Amino acid sequence: MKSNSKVYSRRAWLKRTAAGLSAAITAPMLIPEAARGQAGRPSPSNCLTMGMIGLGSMGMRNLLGFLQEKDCRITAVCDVDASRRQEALKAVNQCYGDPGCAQYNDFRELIDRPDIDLLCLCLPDHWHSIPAIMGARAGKDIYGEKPLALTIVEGRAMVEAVKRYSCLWQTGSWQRSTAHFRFACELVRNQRIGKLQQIEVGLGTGSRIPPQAAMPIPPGFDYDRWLGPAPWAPYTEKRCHWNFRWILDYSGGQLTDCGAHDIDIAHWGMDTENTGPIQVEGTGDYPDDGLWNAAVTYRFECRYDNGLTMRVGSDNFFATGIRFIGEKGWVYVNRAGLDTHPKCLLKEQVGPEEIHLYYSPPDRQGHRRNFLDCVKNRTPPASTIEVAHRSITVAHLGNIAMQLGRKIRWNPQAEQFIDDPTASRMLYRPQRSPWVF
Amino acid sequence: MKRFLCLTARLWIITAVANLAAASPDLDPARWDALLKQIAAYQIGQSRTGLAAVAACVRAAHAAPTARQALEKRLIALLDSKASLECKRFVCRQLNLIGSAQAVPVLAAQLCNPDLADIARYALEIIPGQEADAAFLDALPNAAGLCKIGIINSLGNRRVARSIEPLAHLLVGPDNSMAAAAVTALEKIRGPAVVDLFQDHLSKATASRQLLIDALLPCAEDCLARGELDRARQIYQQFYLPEFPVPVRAAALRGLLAIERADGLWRLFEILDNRNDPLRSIAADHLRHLPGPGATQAIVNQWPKLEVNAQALVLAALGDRGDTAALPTAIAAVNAPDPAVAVAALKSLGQLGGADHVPLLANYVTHSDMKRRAAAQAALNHLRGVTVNRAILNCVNGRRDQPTQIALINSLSARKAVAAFPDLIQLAAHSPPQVQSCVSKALGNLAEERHLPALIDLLARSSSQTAAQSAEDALVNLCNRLDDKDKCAAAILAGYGPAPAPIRCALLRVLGQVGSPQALPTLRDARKGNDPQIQDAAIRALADWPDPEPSNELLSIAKDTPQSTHRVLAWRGFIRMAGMRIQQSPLVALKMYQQALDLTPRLEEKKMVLSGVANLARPESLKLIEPCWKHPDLVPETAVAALKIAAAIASRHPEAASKALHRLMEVSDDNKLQHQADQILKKLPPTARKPLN
Repeated sequence: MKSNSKVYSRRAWLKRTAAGLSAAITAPMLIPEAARGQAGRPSPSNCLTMGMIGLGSMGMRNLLGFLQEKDCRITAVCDVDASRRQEALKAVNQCYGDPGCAQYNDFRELIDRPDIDLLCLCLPDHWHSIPAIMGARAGKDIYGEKPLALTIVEGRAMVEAVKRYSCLWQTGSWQRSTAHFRFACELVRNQRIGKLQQIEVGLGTGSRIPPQAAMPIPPGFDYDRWLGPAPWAPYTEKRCHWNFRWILDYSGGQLTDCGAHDIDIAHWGMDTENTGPIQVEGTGDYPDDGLWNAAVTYRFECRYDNGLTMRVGSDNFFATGIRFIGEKGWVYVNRAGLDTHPKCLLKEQVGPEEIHLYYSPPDRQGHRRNFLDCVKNRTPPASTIEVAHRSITVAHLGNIAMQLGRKIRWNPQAEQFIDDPTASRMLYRPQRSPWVF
Repeated sequence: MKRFLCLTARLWIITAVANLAAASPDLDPARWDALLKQIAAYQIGQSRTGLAAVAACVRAAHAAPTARQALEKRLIALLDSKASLECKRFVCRQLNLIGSAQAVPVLAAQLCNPDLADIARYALEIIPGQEADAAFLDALPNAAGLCKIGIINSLGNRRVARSIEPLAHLLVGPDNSMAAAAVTALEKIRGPAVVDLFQDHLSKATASRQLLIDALLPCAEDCLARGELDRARQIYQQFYLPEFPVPVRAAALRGLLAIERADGLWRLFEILDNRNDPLRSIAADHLRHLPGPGATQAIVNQWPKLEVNAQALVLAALGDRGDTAALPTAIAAVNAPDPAVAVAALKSLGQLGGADHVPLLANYVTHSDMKRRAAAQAALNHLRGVTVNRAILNCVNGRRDQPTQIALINSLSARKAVAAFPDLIQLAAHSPPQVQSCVSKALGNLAEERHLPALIDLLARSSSQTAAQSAEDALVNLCNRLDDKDKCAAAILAGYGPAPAPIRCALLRVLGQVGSPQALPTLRDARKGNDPQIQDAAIRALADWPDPEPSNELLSIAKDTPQSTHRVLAWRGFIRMAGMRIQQSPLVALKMYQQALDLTPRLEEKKMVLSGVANLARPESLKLIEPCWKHPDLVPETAVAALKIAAAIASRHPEAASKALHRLMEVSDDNKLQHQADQILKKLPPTARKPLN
């Protein structure tokens, strides 16, 4: 059976107008927001069109989630792996009962389409900044997966682009949309455990594997584009899908993967969402051999200028989740639930005169719903890009301090290291040509 | 040959690891030479312990400048040698961290080498100093293709001002990808010269026009940061025109507001006034953050002139600003005919208002429009001020209509207005049943330990069955929240003695939920008493008991009581309590299940036993259920239990598991269970797999 959808080859991305026109002709056409009512921005009564870029485990989870939302229509999917693309395409077309979804190998083709309002970016970390900045420039609102960026400088560039173009950005840190995480932070913010003294964050432990020989690239997998801005390396299966997170060229290990969630919650409770630590020190066990090189176990301590200390470590050091320790008790929260000392705090209610944190509909789906609602109302979402950048900066600083094996001092306002030229070299990484963020 | 290679690789790894243990930047030269010789032949797929040893030295070199220089020299020599490509890539990564001017020539030599250009840039782009700038500039004319784009990108990332001129030439060149890279690089270099260059090309360029526009926006931000307001304003005004794409106009608007601050309000209203302006919702969002003391008043002054959709957007923004100067506008708009405006006004009133606005909001909590109703209720719940709760209570007392009273009481509950407890107790006594029920619910949410007697009294004084049930629920709610169950029981028992029979029944039910041992004697006496209602309540309370303490009592009821309902209740409670014993006293649990299975006459309770015993992973459990295979009505439950127990004990008691699974395959006709049993059997040791006679 002949499909309406079409795989696009790479073409000169400079020709934006022509590209948009080309996509409009060859891709199945939905009437864009721009052509209905209030052009350019969605009106509350209309359906938002979305393009999905990156269709791995999180990509498919988000795709299935957004398919459930009636005021959002996925009109394009993109991945460098043809098999994943096909799977996503099938899911979308089956859901809508028509072959209206287009597929792309090159994300720039999708971003160029003027009839797409929203992007959902679920790419490996080394591919986070470039599509995000391009998407913001193209006027898209973006649901972007965590961790926000591979490096601190890339993260800041993303923040600037999103702010510059008034792009509405929701980071996929959905724990912020979970009632018990919010309540935990409200207990802390409202000093139910007295003055906050320190915070412990327990994250996942990494893994090791032996060295891996180069392998033939599987058919349908555009490996060169998968590598994109990262340093060149030969293909081997355990480098790519899902496992990329264990390799420092593409990610920061469990520290950034889980830290994007739990350090984010810690910052929420600490009220340090728009700043960062001033000093970081710790040790990590980075594998000396094998393909994967991100820290397996790790432990570091961050000092903040308000006197607070946050200790972050793999779960052999701290219980998984976040423990806020105050003068009069503690609050411990993770995905499994909430515990407090004293226990009666669990039954507390936050009064109208107290601090109420941002409410969004519950859990993963609620987090996606919150994004769509905020796009429509043009109000700030649960997980803004600035906050996500500040959260993941802590994890990046931890990795830098542990790799250097010494204390580093940080200026969170300027986002610069203090008197440390070596650490300053690790603020960003030059990218493989032609890519640049 | 293959074995030889394997052996060589192993030896290589062993030597490297030995070196790793001793590696430090000030390693003696001979050992360094040996280590570097080893890594010179490195290929992907081999052990990288030798590389890790070198990398560790590189990271440790921070504190030892002399050793660092020596190490850098060795790495440079390796890069300039016949080492493998993979080794050279590794060396470049290390130079990224410790490379200095002395590494520039050898790295620069690779900038046009397609195999190493990117990774050489990985180091060279990071090395500070004019030497690296010059290396990139020198390489630019001779490079081509991706190597050239990489150099352009590096010049941009390094912000090399001297590269403006050579990059400018690329803007008009025939290669669009070079032009695009040059625009991006120049955007990062920024400065007045770049702005002039971009402006000049904007009128000429076609293909890269959009890129030039996008590049000028951060340049304008740079002007703003440097205080060159006029230059920044010029760029923003240029791109604010309607012919530019929406995102560009949005960026220009943001820039103009950063310059004009509150003086730019007219721009926002110009947009808001135009129903078709795509920047409308963005403009409303800007109102949230518009600085200046008079900004709110200025917005308020303009608000009435807007059309309704814009009015709703602006009201939402006014609420978020939190400035009470917008209160009169919100108050006036709550009665707006347009639902979106009214809802936005109610929400804003909740954010900005206080005790004085309770009566107004109360007028809308029963509105026929669900959205207005919900907005008014949420606003009441969120109003701030120490006198708000008192104002709500006054309003409850002043209103006659029950739905409004109920909404206001719910609000007190949501606001955790504990201080309202005495007033609500009074209200409960004099309210019609529906209101009374709502008050009781609120009391249950608000009550603290000290309020136990008052809630018991409320229950005792209930004028109807509905009211009594509500008061009972409130008491259970409070007791569930309190940690000290003995205190709860003591308070309830104090109220139990003088209470009439129906209230005693209610208190017995509550005691059943509390579960304090103090209450058990009273329950035992009650179930032996003469009043059938109290007897019934006591047996139900015992059957619901949250721990297995009254299990013997229940067994005796199950065996002796003439009433079938009570027998069933007692057996169910007893079987449930057997389940509670599994973890700490499995043999006691087993005995309890055996008693229940032997003595209970009904199939339903026997099925409960099978369901419970399935969680008891012991061979005795299989023995216990053995007789049930013979009862056709119990075979499905017996099969499920047998499978679960067998799976849990298979490793420790394979023969017992095997016997039960074979029995299942023989008796059960459930294909799914048979398949699962077969799977477990296959994993058993061969001696245990065969059926035992």
